[in-house]
Formats: sequence, C-alpha cells, structure tokens
Amino acid sequence: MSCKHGHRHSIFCVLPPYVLDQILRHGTAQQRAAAVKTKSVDHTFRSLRLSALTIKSMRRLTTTAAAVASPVAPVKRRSIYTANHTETLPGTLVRGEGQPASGDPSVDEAYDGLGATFDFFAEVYQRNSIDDSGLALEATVHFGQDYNNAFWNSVQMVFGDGDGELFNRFTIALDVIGHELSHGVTEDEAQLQYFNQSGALNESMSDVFGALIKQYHLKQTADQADWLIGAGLFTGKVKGVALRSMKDPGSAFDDPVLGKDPQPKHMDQFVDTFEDNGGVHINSGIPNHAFYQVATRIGGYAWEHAGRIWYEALRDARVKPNANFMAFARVTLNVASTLYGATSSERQAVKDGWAAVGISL
Amino acid sequence: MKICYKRDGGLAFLPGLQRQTEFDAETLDDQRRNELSQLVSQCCFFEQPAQVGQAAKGAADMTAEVLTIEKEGARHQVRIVGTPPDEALLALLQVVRAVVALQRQHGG
Repeated sequence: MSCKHGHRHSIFCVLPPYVLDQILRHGTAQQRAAAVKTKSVDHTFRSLRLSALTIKSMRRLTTTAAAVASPVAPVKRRSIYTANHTETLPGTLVRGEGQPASGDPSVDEAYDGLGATFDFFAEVYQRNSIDDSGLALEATVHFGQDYNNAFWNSVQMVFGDGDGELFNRFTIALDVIGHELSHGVTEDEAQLQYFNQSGALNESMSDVFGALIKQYHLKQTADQADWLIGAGLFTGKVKGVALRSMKDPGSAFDDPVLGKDPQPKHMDQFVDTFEDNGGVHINSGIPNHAFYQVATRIGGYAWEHAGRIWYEALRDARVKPNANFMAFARVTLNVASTLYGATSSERQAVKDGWAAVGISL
Repeated sequence: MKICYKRDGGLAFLPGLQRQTEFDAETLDDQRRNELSQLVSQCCFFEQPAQVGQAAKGAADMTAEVLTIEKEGARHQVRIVGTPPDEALLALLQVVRAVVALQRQHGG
C-alpha cells in the first residue's frame, strides 16, 4: 500500500492493527515507540469510523450508561427573572425553584410553564431537561416596553408583555413557553439551521412539542385538541384565534392591522422569500400540518405515538443540521417502522400524513 | 427627517407587523420630533455599522429591526438584531417603535 504522507517509515501510514502489534513485539525500540503512538491515535479514529457515531451519540451513550448505573430522577431548577421593562438580561431574580407564587402573573406563568415543559419531556420521553443532563431553566419576563415577542436566545427564554392593544403578555400561552424551550431541545439534538427548510423544521419542532405540552397538560386526545399555537395571545381587538393553526395553516387570523395568516399547508403553496430567514415561521405550516395529519390518523394521545416518532427522529443522527422536509420525513418513516413495525398503522399514518402535504415517501 | 422602520422575524411573525412603516418627523409633535433628532445625534446614527448584533448559534424567534433615516440629504440604514449595546441607539429604536405602533393603531 502506498503511503501518501512522504515519511520514511511505513509505520506512519494507517496500517492494520495486527501489523502494529507485530512491530510492538519484534521491532526496535524506536519502531515500538512509534507503533504505540500510532496505535493509540489510530484506535480513536477506527472506533469513530467503524461505529459511525457522532460525538452527540457518544455523549448520549455515556449519559445513558451512567443513568442505568446510577439512576437519578430529573430535578427541575427554574429561575424566573424580571427585566423591569428594560432589555437587560437576565434581569432581577424574582422566583427560584421551590419558591411560592409571586403574585405576578407573568412570573408565575413562566414558572409553571417551564415546569410543565420539563415534566413533559421527563415523563413522556425520559429526557432530563433541555440538554438531557439536567440543565437549569431560566426565563426573563417583562422584557422591553410593549414588547410583542418571545424568544430563545440560546441560553434562556425571554418574554415580552405585549402592547395591550394587539397582544397580551407572551407567558399567557403554555404552548408558547413550550415552543421556546423546545428550541433548546432542537439545538441540543439535530441543531437544525435556522433558515429555509431546516429553519422551518426547527420552528415546526417547537410548534409540535409546544402543542403536545399543552395537550399533555390538559390531557387532551388528538381529536380534542385545538392544534392552535399561541391561543390567547391576541387581545379581543384582533380578528384571529392564534398565531398559527396546525390543523388548518392559513386560518389562524385575518385582521385589518395584522394581515392574514400567511402559512401554507401544502408544498404546492411553499413560500420562497428572503424575509424571516427564508420564511421559517411561514413554511413551518407544512411540517406542522403533516404532524397534525399523522397524529389524528393514529388517534389517542398525540404524544404517545406521533410525538414519539417525531422526538426520536429529531434525535436521529441521520437528521443533519441542513435537513429539508423530505429528509426529515424519510427519517420519521424509518423511525415509525423501527418503533412500531414495517406494516404498522403508525408507519402508514406517517406515510399518509406527509403525502397530505405533498411529500411522497 | 424621514424615518423608515421594518421588523423581521420573531415568534409573532405576522404580515402586519413586518410591514415597512415610514414617517416624516416633521409630522410629529415638537417633543417627539426633538427627542428623535437628539437621539439620532447622540447615537451617531449615520456612523453606525450597517449591522448591529447577531443572533447566537441556536437562538430562535429573535427579531431583526431595520432602521433607515434620511436627514439633510444623507441616508443611512442599520439592521439591528437583538438589543443594541449602544444605549442611545436603543433609546432611538424604542421611540421609533412607539411612533410606528401609534401609526398602526390609527390605520397607518
């Protein structure tokens, strides 16, 4: 085998381990020293290559092994801050874990919502917080002045109070709290890039889990759920029911000031735009509706089967940061087969659900 | 002084909120007009970089705000992601947001 590295000794090429072992037994002192060094480096790369594990997967194996050896119940560690209408983060701590209600609705809703989200992931998917390693959860409320938004800044959640004209406070909707926290889960797992289709998938993941967190809290089946994201956010002055509808994308609002819900529900209506990082909040309607279709076709509690498929797909190493809708859909189909069988009704529901939005598997 | 404001992105990504809004400071009351003029000077708006701030990796639902100001023949645009560290620029942004919100309420 020719060595492309240009060193004199063939030992500096990647040799089969048994050749290195022979050198270790019979070589000169210099050759044995080189073989030891080569073997240790080579072993690392062989292990990674042969197992095709990502660093994330290795960490998960280590975490899982440690959990099996010494199981520790997930423990919530919540901290709620107020920005006092400034834009300084995190602000002033107003409620820590285990402390009684503050009397401030925003603070207490954030505290309860973080708890509900944590409990959902722990009880349903055995996930210990955002990073599956017990990460403390932080949220800041009363951010800015009349601030019509909530966001995840990569380390914490931030909630505005709304302007009182169009929007109520953003902690009012449990699914919004779950949505923001779920961005942390996505970042910990697939790291879906936040633009174009991968960004729309990222947004959809948060809507899916936000909706499931609300349904789990209310113990609603897929048929009973409203499949709305952000119901209650609008004031009574707005002609609209929510920010988005997974059941019927494009129908959530139609208001003289806010405009009409721009979400598509089918690939035929995909929106090509440079706005909103390539329409991440617009085209998320398509995978959102796919999930709704899958969940209602399967029936029962959506978090049990449809949610499990989506969650395991999000954690699957085949879902890359630049995954598009088709790539993700393929993984969900495969995950459904793995979990429930190649001829299962769940697998068929996934196939039909994606077909309903124009993605044929 | 003409000011143009546009918001992009955010959890509440709604067409009406993303619509570009323009106004002439001359149409505002004296207090507001003077406040805007002072803040534009204090933050050295016309010397600000074209982009201020960026979303951290993994961040989501953050808004970007694009501010374009024309004054005495000069025109400059700044795209602001997140909270600007310059307090005067933040104060300018807050005043512009308030004017835009008022305009929207009155059908502007």
